Amino acid sequence: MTKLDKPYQIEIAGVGGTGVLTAAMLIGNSALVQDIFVVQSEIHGMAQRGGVVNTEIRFGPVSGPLIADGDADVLLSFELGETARAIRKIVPKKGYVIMNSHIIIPPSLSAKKGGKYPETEDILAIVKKFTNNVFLIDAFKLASEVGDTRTQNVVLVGALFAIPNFPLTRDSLIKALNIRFRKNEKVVATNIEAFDKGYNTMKELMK
Amino acid sequence: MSDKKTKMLLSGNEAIARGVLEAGVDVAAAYPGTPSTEIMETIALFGKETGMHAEWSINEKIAFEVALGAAWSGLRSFTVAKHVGLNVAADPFFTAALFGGMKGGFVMCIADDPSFHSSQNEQDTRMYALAAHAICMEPSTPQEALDMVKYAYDFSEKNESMIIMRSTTRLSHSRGPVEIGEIPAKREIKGEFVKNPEKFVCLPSSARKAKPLLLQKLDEMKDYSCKSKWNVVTKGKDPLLVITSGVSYTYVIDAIREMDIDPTIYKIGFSNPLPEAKIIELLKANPKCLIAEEVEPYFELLVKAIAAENGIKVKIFGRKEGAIPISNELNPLILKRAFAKVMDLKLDEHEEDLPSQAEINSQLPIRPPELCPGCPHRATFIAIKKAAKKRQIKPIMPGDIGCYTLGFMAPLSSVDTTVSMGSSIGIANGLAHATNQTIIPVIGDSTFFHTGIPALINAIVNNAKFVLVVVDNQLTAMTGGQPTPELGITAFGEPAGIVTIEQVCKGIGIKNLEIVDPYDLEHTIEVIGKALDSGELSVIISRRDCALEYARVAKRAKEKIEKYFVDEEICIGCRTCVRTFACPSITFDYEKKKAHVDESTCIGCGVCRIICPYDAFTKR
Repeated sequence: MTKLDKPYQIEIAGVGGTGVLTAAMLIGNSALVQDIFVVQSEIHGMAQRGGVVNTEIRFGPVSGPLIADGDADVLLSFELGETARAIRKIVPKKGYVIMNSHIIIPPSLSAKKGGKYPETEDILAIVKKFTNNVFLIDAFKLASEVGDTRTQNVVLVGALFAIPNFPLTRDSLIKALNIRFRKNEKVVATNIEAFDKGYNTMKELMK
Repeated sequence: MSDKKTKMLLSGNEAIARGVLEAGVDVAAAYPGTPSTEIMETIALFGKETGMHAEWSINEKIAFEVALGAAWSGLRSFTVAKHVGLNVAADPFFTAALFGGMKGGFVMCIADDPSFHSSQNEQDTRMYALAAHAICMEPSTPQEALDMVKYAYDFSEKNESMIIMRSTTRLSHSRGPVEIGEIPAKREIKGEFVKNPEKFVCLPSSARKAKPLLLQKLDEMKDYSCKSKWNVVTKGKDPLLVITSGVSYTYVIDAIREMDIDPTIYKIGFSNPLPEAKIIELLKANPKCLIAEEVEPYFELLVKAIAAENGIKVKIFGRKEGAIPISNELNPLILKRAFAKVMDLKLDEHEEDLPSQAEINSQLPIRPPELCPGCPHRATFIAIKKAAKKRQIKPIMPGDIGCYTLGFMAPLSSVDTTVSMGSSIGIANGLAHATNQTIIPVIGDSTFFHTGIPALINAIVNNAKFVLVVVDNQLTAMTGGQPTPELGITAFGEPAGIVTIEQVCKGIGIKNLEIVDPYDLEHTIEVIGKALDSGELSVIISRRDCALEYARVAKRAKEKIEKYFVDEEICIGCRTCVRTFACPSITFDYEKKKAHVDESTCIGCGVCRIICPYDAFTKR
């Protein structure tokens, strides 16, 4: 078993139906492939219908499935505004934030007269109060370049793996993709392409 | 078989299901409910190969009785429900616990939902165990869940007693590495019911004999509980005892590691009966005791009673005392704060000059769960509202449990009460007699079969007048699409008998019965209107496939869905669509003053076309 000296913790934030749970399964299975101890939590049911979805993944010397505020090494966010909602999980100053620039407008906002989605700058301003390691990625665009917008989640997983000293490898993620998509070669290949897009984009952003 | 065991990343629910399969259970029955649903789903996925019988029952009471019948026939049996599901099964549960007699192991898993993630209340199944004198076990991790379920079957058979396996949301829906074992080879189910009226005909005379025997059995089990491998003491150096169970144990471990403290931990796997002698011994050895448990202060009340009875001077902290908040689930931070309080430590909390959650949320749009794009329930609610508005009536709409509960939110605002499964019709009965208001209860198809039918019969035989709308999307949608009696499909996907809502309604003598397609909004409005005008007890079945399922089926069949878009030449920016209909696919651009359809989520139901007064929604 690969030993980690201290816990490594990832908070994933998003909206029901955007592939949060699948992304978490891929990351968790990558850890399992590398024999790194992992626990993760997910919320099903009512929240899945377009509501806020959070998943927490913890590696190494950990026991329970939840991350306390201020303890997440990474916040991986699948929707712009949801980044801010989950930002209190991050380790102040040191944590990494990878945020999708894609927005999903809740109908309750459209129903409100003059209801306007916050500007990207306003969301960034909140997030940057917590850490300066903030990386904005247009995962929707990158996923459409791969030819399947549903791979947005894997684009973001790719970006996650590019973080310095990230404990998991591309090889184990590919194994996890094969578990998830039951070796459907075409789907796996598309997802690897999406992963690499995210990975390379993140590397560029960090230069 | 190789020495190296296969390890999988399983959720607590999947691990419990795996335990059931590995234990060679022959009969499993359940009604879905978050956070328990995936247990039966997983059994249904793999169970067919074992030769077992698995079913989605009509409700939790029936599921319990199916499993009880099998256990009394000498077969290993299993039932599972969410916490409130046990309320439905409570009647047979109490008596089965009293009489026992399970020759085949009988495990009932109940998943509690601390923090009300997907539930209307936050009840603690351990309280039921105490009230019914039932054995209750609590696993902490997915691995332990699998192992404990297998153990529970042996223990159940040894004692001819049922075992409650209590899970909570964060165990059911957490994943961890699990070493799995073998599932027994395919077999034929061969139980035999051996007549024994003394045991199985639960009459007052036999109950009077059964109760002292049960209490004696549980009393004897306390010693066993003290020695059980599921109740584990980890000795520490700090003068503090922690008593904990379930997922709370994992938070305790995280907190003490981070705080570098070393209390003695008593992790309890047997919540009922409690290991009393061991608790006495540990209480005597420690001046303080912190109890970490989810939902009610169950251990806390019992441990305080044990301390008092035995004259032990120990200060006990917990949810009732206040070191841990009395409501909602636990987390590592709550535990750290509790330890800091109990041990007089200073907790290094993160800088609080950072914005609070409330400050952040105030700058973000709220994002409550909502009905999906194209959801037929939305169309039905709109039709009811329009029919009522035309007649200038403000109907009272008792709602029920399912996706359509979300109809309570603006702009639909079409649910006036939600209590429990089937209670829309029950409450409508009461409202009909109590008021002169127009009553329109709304219930889903699965819920109608679950507990709605008796309430509808009740309306007929007591002359209650209302218009019942059954929103029939042809499956149990909220929990992920389990079959209903109208589908004629078993849990294994095999063909089965069919019962339709209209058959039931006709059979019990409903005279005013109509079936509508909510996507045909005009017709639906007309039919609801007629029913309102009649003043009679009426049933309208609003039937249309769940939009999620429709999209899934279309995708599988590689069918192209024709989507809608907004013709900006026609759209005048009146916002009728977003103000009244609130389909998640429709947004409003305030710069252009035009509505917009997100074609990646639109499923082409076309109801927006009817909603729009100017006909601005068109097909591509």
